[in-house]
Amino acid sequence: MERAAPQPSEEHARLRLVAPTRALVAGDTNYLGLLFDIDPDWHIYWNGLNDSGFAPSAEWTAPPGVEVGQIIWPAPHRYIAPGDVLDHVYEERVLLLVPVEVPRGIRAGAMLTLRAQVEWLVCKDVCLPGFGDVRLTLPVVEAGSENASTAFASAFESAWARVPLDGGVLDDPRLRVRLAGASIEIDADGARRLSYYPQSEAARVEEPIRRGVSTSGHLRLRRSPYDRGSLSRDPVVRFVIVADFGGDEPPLVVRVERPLSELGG
Amino acid sequence: MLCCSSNVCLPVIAGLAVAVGAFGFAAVQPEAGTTGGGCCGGATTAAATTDCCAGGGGCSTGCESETAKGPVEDPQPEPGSAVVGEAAPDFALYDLEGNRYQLSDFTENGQIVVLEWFNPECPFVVKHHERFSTMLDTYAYMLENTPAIEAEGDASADEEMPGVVWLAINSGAEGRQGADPALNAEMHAEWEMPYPILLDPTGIVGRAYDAKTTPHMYVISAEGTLLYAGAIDNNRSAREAGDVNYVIQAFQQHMAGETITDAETQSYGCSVKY
Repeated sequence: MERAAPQPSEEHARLRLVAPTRALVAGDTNYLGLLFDIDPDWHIYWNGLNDSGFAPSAEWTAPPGVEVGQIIWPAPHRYIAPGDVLDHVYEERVLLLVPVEVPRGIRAGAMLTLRAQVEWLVCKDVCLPGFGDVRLTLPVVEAGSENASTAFASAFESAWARVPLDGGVLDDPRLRVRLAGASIEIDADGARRLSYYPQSEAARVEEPIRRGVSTSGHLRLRRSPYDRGSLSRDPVVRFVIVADFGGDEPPLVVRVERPLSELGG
Repeated sequence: MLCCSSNVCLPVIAGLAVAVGAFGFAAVQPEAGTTGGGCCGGATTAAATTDCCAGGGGCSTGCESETAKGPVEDPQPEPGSAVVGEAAPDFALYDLEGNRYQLSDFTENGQIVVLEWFNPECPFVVKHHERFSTMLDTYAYMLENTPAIEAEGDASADEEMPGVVWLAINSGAEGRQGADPALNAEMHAEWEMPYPILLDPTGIVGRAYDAKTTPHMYVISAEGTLLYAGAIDNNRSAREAGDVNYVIQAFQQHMAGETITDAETQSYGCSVKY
């Protein structure tokens, strides 16, 4: 049976709060998801450097003792608009992961309701602000109990596949990253497409449209931050690399963070 | 029929005003019927346009009208030529009534100039014009804190010029969101904007200043130096106001003779609809 495609709406992006399993596990970090279904040709924004737009933000209401952490952002895609406007965006569907700590003391069977009030911007050639007030109520189970998957489990798998790994501990011989002074050199052996996603002002580079993506597996970038206020508030070079190898090989998605103070020059 | 231009002969299309002389980038003003067009300094009527453009294939004739001071060459700023701390690239654009505004005219008067990239349909512009009055408040603050300038050598020497000139610029290409001159005129009235909206449909000025978003703000000193480029304030949301107004901060520091601490910030908003 064919499932009906989501109908385009006036909002152009629809938000749901979803879980990969039918219950929350006590004494564990659970991951919920803000799932956006986005109309064709429209996009929402990643939380890194963008020339326009802004990334979704959420305010959470959770039961006492339940801690909601920061959104975990899958790697975005590059989107270039006329006028050399470079944005890093999500299209079609994206699931933003949200860690939820459920304390050990909550008894099995309790029902927990989480609520997120979310603000976002969705753009095509026009931009529209979006607001969502979403809730999810799930029972609590003890660790090790049966906890069946939901229909959203595969969306979580896809999202995790594009969540950056920590480059500080990653040991993949295909990837080499060197930072020195203003220079950033990235080499990914065999990458058919290597993309650079700056996430902090310190990671802003010269000519990002031309130099921020490569089909040769080599990126040679020069940092050129200009927003001194942002730089002093967040003096860390932070970026995400995506190396696509083609075929069935999964992409290598890596986050690099280096304090400016560690870079010479 | 051909219309005169400095280098090329442009066909005259009925109902369109075609600029003459050397109005290079403003050569064709497709919304002439509503904007007054850009021919002969922008203050011409349809009849004047016809006169300007008469004369067949001759491409050397200047363009005269009773309001224009003779053929004026519009600057052609290079893309990306605006650099903070250096001379702001000169430009000339036309407002919704067809009046011509040239940056250097203001800086030669000793006036500070603020540029506000504008699109009346962008939620961020709406925020600063409708939900809040950030732009008008900022303009008012700067006017209050700048001495007026006495007009020179004029018979009407009593007249004073404001110390600050604020120009909204819409670099939307024809047909794109927020570019329609009629809509701009409507919102200009509705938001009671006390300054003109200049149309930049070719995007030449937007690209010269590398304007990325609406709004995107620029402050130019009375000496013609680009002092500030970036956001209006420090709240990138489409709903909430910021608590640091970067335009006012740059203006205050400039007037006090201090170094501008945030001379460049990342602007936020909708992409400019080039």
